[in-house]
Amino acid sequence: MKWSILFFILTMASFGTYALLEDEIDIVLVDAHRESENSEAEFITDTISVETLGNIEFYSKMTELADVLWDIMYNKHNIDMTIWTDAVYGNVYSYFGYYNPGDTDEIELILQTIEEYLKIHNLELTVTQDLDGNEFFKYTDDEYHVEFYTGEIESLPHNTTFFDSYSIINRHYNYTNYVGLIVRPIELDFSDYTRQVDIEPALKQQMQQIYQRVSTDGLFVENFMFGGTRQAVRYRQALSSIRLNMTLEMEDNQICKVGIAGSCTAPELTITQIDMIQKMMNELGMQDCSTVITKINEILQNNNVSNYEISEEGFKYKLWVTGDYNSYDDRYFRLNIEKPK
Amino acid sequence: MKTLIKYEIKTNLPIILIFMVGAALFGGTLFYDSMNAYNSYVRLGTSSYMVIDMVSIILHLAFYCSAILTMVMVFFQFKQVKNDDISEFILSLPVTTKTIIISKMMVGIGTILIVNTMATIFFILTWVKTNFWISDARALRFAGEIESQYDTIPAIITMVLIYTLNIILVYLFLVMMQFVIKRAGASVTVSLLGALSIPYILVFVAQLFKNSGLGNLIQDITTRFIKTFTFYNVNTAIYQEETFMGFISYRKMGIRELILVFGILFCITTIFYMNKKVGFTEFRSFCYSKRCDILLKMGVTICSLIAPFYIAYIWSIQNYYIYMPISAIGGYLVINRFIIKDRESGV
Amino acid sequence: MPIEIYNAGKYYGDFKALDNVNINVQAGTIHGLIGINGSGKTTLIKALVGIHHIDEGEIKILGEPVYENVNIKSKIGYVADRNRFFKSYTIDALIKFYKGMYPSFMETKFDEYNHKMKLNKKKRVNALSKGMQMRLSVMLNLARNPEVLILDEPTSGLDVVAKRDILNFIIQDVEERGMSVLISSHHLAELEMLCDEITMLSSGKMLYQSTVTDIKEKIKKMQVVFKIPLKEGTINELRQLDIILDVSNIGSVYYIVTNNIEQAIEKLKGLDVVLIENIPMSIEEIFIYTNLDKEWEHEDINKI
Repeated sequence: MKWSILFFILTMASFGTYALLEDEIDIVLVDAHRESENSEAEFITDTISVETLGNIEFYSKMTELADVLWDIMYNKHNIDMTIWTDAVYGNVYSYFGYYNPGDTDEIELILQTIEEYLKIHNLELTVTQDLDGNEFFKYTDDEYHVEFYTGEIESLPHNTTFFDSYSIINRHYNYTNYVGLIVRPIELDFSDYTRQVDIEPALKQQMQQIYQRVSTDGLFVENFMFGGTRQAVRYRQALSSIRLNMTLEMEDNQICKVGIAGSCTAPELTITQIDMIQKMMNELGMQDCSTVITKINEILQNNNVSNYEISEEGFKYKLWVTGDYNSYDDRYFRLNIEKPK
Repeated sequence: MKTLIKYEIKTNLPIILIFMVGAALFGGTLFYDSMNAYNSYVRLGTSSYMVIDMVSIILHLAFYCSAILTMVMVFFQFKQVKNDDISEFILSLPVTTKTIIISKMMVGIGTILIVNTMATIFFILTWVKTNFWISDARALRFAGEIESQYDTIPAIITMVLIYTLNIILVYLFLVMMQFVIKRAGASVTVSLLGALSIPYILVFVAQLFKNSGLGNLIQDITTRFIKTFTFYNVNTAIYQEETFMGFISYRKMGIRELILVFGILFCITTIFYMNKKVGFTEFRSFCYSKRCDILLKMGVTICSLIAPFYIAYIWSIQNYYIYMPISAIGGYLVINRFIIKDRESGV
Repeated sequence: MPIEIYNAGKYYGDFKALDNVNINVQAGTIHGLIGINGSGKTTLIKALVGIHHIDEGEIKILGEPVYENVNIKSKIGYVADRNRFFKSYTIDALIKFYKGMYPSFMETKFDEYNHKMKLNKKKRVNALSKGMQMRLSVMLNLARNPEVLILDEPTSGLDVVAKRDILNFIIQDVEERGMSVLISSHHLAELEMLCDEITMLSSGKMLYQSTVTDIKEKIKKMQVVFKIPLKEGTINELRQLDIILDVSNIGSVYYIVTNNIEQAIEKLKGLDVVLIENIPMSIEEIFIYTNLDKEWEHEDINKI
């Protein structure tokens, strides 16, 4: 009898603790052979309100466009197409697909579809060209900037996520052509974003630090993207993935674009990445872009970065530093270096 | 004990097989669904796919099916030894009632463990199968790395372990109640209604105090009660939010799991105590004692008292409280009659 | 003594099913337990085989309490009034079960019995007739070589042949192994032939416990003729006497049942009796007369 009473009391006591004191978090023991860097941290319970994370309506329109394209290409015209959407909450929306050309003039079809779709939604396109001569549609209003790309995969712009997804997709399929759409706010700045998102103070502070570092160190931030995922919201954490595209001005007035992208799960690491680039800038100085690869190689090795590869494709140098996604210990980040013409 | 266990397995074989089919169905559904997910994921890349999340959803659905099957199993296990003709045969065998109880519990809990192991195998197979393309896709996603960190096999096993604790608690609670109410079927029914009555009453009380902190508190308690005991929304990870990071943080043991473990121990100790006190044959009334009858009557009366509140909610009736005394009296009369009739027929 | 029951009492709720019952069964004897329906026989038997325990007093089998006593229960055979075996089991499966539960179970002995009974071992228990089920139960229990065998109305609803077979099995084992038997039955004629001693229960209480011979010596029926037929009032007065169990008449011949013949004769002599004749009574008749609607006190046991 006394054991019954004891365990009854213990059950009630633990339930009482859970009901009255514990945060509404269900924890299980997960395999964690790695050590927590900050195991003493407290759990913050502020939630991020999904509704303020950007223009949901616009986002949903773009999602709809993806479905429309899919329907036309894949279902109606039997064009084998894979479509990836890379949705960053309300702020930047990249949407792209890969396909193999058939008998139908797919590009015309795609352009027509997009044009019609945007017209229906009162979004008019103008045609323009980028620096590389790629034709694309541009739509600009006070808020958003839409770019549409199409062409052969070989000519994919490297400072976009097209390249990321292509490398993944191509392991499963063999496509030669791409179609892509990027939608992003005209001026994406940190303060604008934080106005929209209710982020924890600690998080804000750290993002501020990174931004400061980046902008005061003379690196031109072309495209600072910040994003989160539904998973993050669910677990009340805005994760960030930093993509920094920096333009280096070389001695011979060449422009060397360095893009760095990565999933940042620790501020120290983000700072490390920036430090690394900083170092590279300092060491490289105003050197010729062709020697950049060698130098970067050296720097990476000195910093014990492993699992990377350097490849050359035509005039473009691609440097990939990848990590194993299933292992916490390796960090993933990528340097894209594009030698200008 | 070996002979008794063999007998228990033989007698409960239909239920055991249904449990296994259920596990195969739930686990198989996940496995099959993962193949579809591949197509949509690679082609559209629109959403995250994590086996651990799917397992959590599947287990939440499976909980209700398992709970019902467990009730059926307990009913058949104890009907034989309490109400059937063969109870006399079993009780005249050279075994103690403790041995009988232990053999039943071993078969009951053993069934749950085996079945959940089967399901775990399916889940792990699903994980293995999906992993080759998931790691690719996660390379692109902002939170890909995070997902890979907590969508792991140990996490799946842990989740099934918690689920197993949940179901074992349900089983042992039902077994414990078999020593409180005489008839096996009535016991299972009263157990179920008794368990449901807790949130049933708490919601009403919360409503009474709805404009105060007390009301919110009671609401919280009710929600936690339901979540604790029905495997609701069991997630595998929590992110530490203070730092700008997303790696997995974990606690050695969740409070929720502790409640389940203590609950199980409480049920086991009470079962053995009640077995000594009441056994299978020493029921003095509808319940094991007249005092317990009174408690049951009080419980039914209170629940009947509250019934108009819920009826009013469904049928949008005003001023439900004027019907409360009537329903209370009605409830009391029904349960009283029930108990009297049982006493008259039982002796 | 193999079976000892001291001051046994049992309640079902407020109802007292057994009240101060005392029975002792000698080794190697057959003890009968008789009583009308609801007298407490089954309650007592259930307590004897360890199905439930009693609320007052003590029950010992082979010197030890029965309830929850694995060792003692393994030495008790129990034949219930109807099949309480696992319905879906075949006889083979049941034998296997018995072997598992009782190490002393001898399949060879069972087969010897079955040689006469010819039960199909592949048949399910619930496919057997009532008589076959009863035979099966006796066979299974005797094949275990129990030291004490308790039977609850083993012959009710059986035909003559089945009854004979079953009783023969029992008697054989008693003679060969000195098994002690307690048997309850409504078939008093059988008990009369079978039992060494009988206990009669009524409303949970013991009416008497004695050998058959002693009982027959105590309860007598007289055929009486009076000079002048008795008036109704006189008959009623006679009925009120403790020593008179019953008075009835067919014409001028009166039948008077008494538990004290000497005193009864003395009483009758005062009523101008012409003829008194002793008529033999069967146990069944004795049972009927002793269970007539009359209030019995506990002290009545001493009057017999």
